[in-house]
Amino acid sequence: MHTVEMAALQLDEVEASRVLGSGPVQPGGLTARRTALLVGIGGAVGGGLRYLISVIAPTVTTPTLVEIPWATLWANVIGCLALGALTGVLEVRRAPAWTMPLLGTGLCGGFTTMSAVVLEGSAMLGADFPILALAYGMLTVSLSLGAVVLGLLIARRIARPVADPALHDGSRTPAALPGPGARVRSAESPVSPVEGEAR
Amino acid sequence: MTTALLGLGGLLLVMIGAGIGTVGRWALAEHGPRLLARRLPEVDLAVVRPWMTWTANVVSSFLLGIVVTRLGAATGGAGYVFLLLGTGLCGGLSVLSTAAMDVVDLVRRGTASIALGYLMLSVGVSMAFLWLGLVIGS
Repeated sequence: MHTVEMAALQLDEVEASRVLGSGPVQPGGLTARRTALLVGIGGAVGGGLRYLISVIAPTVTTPTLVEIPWATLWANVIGCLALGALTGVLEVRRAPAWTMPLLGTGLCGGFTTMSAVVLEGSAMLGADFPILALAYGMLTVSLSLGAVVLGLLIARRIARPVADPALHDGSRTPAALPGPGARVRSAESPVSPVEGEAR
Repeated sequence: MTTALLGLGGLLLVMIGAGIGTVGRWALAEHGPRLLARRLPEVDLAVVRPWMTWTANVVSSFLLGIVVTRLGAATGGAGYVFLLLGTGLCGGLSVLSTAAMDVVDLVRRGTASIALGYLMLSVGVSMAFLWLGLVIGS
C-alpha cells in the first residue's frame, strides 16, 4: 500500500525506488475480495492478540488510583515497531503480494488501536488526572513514532544486502541446510516421534 | 471449564469484531480515495490516503463513545456485546500503527508541518468525537 507511492516520491532514496520499480510489491496481483479476506484474517488475529494482552495485564482503575494502561501502550508500540520493520523490508526487498494486506494493514493494524487510547485518555481526564492523561498521550505518540522509525531503520539495514539474499533468507529456512539436517531427521524419524509421543 | 469456554467466546467475539473493523478501515482506504477522485479529479491520491486513516480513527472514536456509554459497565451478555463492538470493531477500525506510519511518511516527504497537523488533528478530533459519542449515547 504505502511503499510504491512513497518510493516514487522519495527523491533521495534512489536505491529503494529502483528496487521497487523492478517488481510490484503492491497487491496488484490479488483480487479485492482476496485482499479483504487477508486484511480481515490479519485484523482478527491482531485484535485477538491485543485482547489477550489486556486480559493478561489488566489495568488498575479505581476512583483514587488511575494507572497508565500498559497493555494498550505495549500493544501499540509493538505494532508500530512491526509495521515500521515490515515497511522497511518491503522498501528494499521484493515480497509476495499478500504480505502488506495480511501483516501490515491486517495484523499490525488490528493489533494497534487509536480509539482505546483516546477513550483511556479521556477517562483519565474525566477522573481528574489531567497530568497522567497528558503523560499517557505523549508517551503513546512519542513511543509509537519512535518505534516506527526504529523499525524502519533497522529493517532497511538488515534487509539491505540484496546481492546475497540466500545468506539472509536461507539461514532461517530449513531448505538452507539440506545436508546434515535432512540426514539426521530421516535417520531418526521412524523411531523418535513415536517414542516422544508415547511418553 | 465454563470460564475457559466463556473466555474463548469473548476472544472469538473480539476477533470477529476486529476482523470486520479492519476490513472496514481497509475498504475506506482502498475505495475512499477513488470515490473522492471521481468528485474531485484534481486531488492527488497519495495526499488523500493518510486522511482515510484519520477518518477511520475519528469514526471509531465516535462509535466507541456511544458503545461505552451504552455498554461500558455492563456485565454478562451485554459485556460480550461490548467485547464485540468496543474492543473488537472499534479497536480494529481505529489504528495507531498506520497513523504513525503516515506521520513518518509525511515527514519523509518533506512535509513536516502537515505531519504535525495530522498528528494534532488525529488526537484532537478523535477526542472531540469521542465526547460527542458519549453525549449522544447517554
